[in-house]
Amino acid sequence: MISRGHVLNEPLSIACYTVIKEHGKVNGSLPTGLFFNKVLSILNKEMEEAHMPIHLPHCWYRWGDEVVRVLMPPDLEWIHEDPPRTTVTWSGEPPEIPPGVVIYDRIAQRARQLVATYASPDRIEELVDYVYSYAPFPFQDHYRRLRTMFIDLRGSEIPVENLTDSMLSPLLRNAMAAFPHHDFPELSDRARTFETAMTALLGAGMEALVLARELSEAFWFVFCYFLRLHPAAHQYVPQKTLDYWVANLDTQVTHFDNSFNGILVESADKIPGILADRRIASMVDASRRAREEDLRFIRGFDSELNDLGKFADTIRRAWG
Amino acid sequence: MPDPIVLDTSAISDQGFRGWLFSYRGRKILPMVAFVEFSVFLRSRNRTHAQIMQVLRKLGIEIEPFGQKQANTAVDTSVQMRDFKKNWRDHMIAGHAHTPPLRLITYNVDDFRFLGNRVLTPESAMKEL
Repeated sequence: MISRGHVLNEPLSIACYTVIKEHGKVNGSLPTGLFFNKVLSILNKEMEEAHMPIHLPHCWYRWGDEVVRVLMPPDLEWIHEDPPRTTVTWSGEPPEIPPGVVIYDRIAQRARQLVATYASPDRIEELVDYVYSYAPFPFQDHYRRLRTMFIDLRGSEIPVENLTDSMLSPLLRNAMAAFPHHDFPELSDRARTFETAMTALLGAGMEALVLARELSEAFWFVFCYFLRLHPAAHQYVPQKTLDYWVANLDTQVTHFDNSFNGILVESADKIPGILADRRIASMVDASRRAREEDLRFIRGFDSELNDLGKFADTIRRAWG
Repeated sequence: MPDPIVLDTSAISDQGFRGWLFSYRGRKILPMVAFVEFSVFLRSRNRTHAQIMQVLRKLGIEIEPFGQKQANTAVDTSVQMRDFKKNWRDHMIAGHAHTPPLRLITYNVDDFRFLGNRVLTPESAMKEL
């Protein structure tokens, strides 16, 4: 039976369904979001090269190539019972695979092969490596290594001087040397100031590590908001969705700037030693000024906003 | 990164909380329904749309549209609580706090009790987060 989603894109439905079903057969469980995204990414790439596209709506984002969920077949369901470990299931009737249609056979066959190869938990890194091997920008893979190191160091803040600096700084330098300034001009200056601040934090000992990790994530997140919009980093995403992503950029850049300023000021307050570097001292001054100016603007709304609660209560009571 | 939070309109009325919010570096989400309340209120006080958007931006608050995911959660909690007629707006707002670690910050904790320990007052948020 072909359910409603498959009418629009049967090859994609067959690909999704086969990956989920085969994972159940091989591992006795549902695939994680990470596994599902990566296998679909490879299928999309390989079938495209074989001139049998599955038209996967996808983009490069925080954890690599990801499907755009709202554009996927409606029978696909993401389960968030255990938040860090999302799983994917198929909730409708299985799609019918008409016999003798080459493209359907090829999709199902390759999906089965990929699941059989990578479904074992010790192969997941290999799967992710494969996907990153065709990322649009080498920067993404370099930065992934930095993020992975931050994750590996989490919870094991070993009080050994210079350990984090020697492990993380080279990864940061490699990543930032590969930053695609030409393709992301809006972030070019921010990338430079970010590297300066990160270098100072990584050299400031264990106390600064938590702040360095937070800053690193903040930069990655803002980069990804731009990345998914780059023509080389998305495919089969309708203009309407891209327009919505564009509309969100301003807010995300401001959020990053606010976070950057906040982290710098907090670092200077907690670890005054970092102010010995004149460039950092001047950045901290600028951050303090920007924060004071923003707070002044917000306080300009105090007389009105202090009454907002009464207004909200009144209108909700009126509806009740 | 600090956990993402969802803001009910009432939470933004507290001056101390607004200061804390400015410094909070996690994602700060204003549900579309709460944005409408927030905006209608400020427009009635002669603030322009541009000023409203700017103060939200300075606070680092992003406005989140009400989509399928939020709607599904709102339907589930409405059916569970059997109070849609009275509290539909609360369910629509709570729909944005659909999955952990998202937490809802509000002064009307009782109205959102179906969220369990994922609903906080501004005061508890300032202490716990």
